[in-house]
Amino acid sequence: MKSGGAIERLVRELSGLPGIGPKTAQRLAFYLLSASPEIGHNLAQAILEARNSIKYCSVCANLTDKDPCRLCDDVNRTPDVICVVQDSKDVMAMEKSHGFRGLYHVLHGALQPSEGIGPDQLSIRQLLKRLEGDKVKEVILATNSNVEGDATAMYLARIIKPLGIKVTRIAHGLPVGSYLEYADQITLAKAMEGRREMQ
Amino acid sequence: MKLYKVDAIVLRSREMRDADRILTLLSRQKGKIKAVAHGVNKPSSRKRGAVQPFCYSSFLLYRGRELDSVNQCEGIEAFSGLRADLDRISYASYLAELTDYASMEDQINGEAFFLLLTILHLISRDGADVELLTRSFEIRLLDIAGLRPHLDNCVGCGVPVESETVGFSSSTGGVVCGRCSGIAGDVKFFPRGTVEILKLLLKWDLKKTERIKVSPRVRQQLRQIMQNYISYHLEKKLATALFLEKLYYHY
Ligand SMILES: [Zn+2]
Ligand SMILES: [Zn+2]
Repeated sequence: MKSGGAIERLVRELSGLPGIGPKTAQRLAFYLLSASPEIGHNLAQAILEARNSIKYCSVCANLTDKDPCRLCDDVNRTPDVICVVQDSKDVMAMEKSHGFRGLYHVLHGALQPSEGIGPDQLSIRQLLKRLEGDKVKEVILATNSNVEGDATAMYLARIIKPLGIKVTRIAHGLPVGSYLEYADQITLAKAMEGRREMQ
Repeated sequence: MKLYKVDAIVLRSREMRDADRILTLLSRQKGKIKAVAHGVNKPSSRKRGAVQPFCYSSFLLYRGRELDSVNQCEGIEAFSGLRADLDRISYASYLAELTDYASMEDQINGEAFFLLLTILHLISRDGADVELLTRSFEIRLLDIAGLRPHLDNCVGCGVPVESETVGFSSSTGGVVCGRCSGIAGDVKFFPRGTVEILKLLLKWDLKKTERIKVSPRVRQQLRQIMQNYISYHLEKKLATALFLEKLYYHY
């Protein structure tokens, strides 16, 4: 049966997406097919449009549909602080927190010696270019809190500090809402290191 | 029993999709094991800390059809001093990759396990001579793997090599006397003192390695000898060795 083939294909494509198992894929597929035709149509259109127009921002390397991206172009953001993150997803997470009003730089990964991912595989040259001149006063290293993220932060600190720019690392410690007794030893050690005086 | 327990060092911890990691473990009880750890990149995961590279942790593993998976784990030693320094992380990555290459899956290798555990302890101390300890580790691991270079007698004719300059050839596996220097195309010459230090690195207690005084020039020669020898015998240059080179001789 022809339509059976098309449904199966839709389920297969959906279950290839991160975080979506076969059950969820089936549910999504049947929803798309039973809902009004515009819903599926609009979704397909949105995916195609995004896919065809998304590129890397020539300034911050974030994914964008216009170059420079909206964040780099925003005159209300402080241009002298750059927050360095591993992924575009991290920019989105940071923006949702409303805790930062400077600019970003997306590395697209982290140093991983054992996988052959060195400085040249990340957008580090592009970052160094942004630091030329003395527009930038501070670089905040917001790479992940694991061995790869830490190594990347230490590497960047090593090459950026000699330029006379302030380099900071975001604090790592106990997740909000968590119990001390459930924290592992590395997290606890880091939380202790990053302690602050009470106001 | 589908569940089994091991104490293991995390040699490699590769990020996969859905917050999973694929681990390569060197265990005391079963040698090298590959296992998947589900969901460990999420902040809520309690296994997160113990599956980081170079952690020495105790694992409860579930035997799967294709790949074993981590049921529970808890850190025994996190080597946090190691994580706080880029040089140490980079060297530790190299030591782990070298050990990975030198070990076979499901083959118990207690000597390699304890050697790695000891070296991780040593290089995670403040002020450790990471480079020299790494050389000492290399020659010891080669010894365990049955690949130790000949350092006393000429690999060509067997006479003791006692001249002031000593030839060394990776392809023939050790030192070469003056008369045999045409034996292979890759013979390079070094002061005898450099080869003597290599012997010391193998013989002395690993914990005393740092008492050996070595000049920057000799360090560079030791690195050259060991790196050539290792890439010749592994038939490849390790990714982490290339990374170390870039870190120190680039940018
Ligand atoms: Zn941008
Ligand atoms: Zn000879």
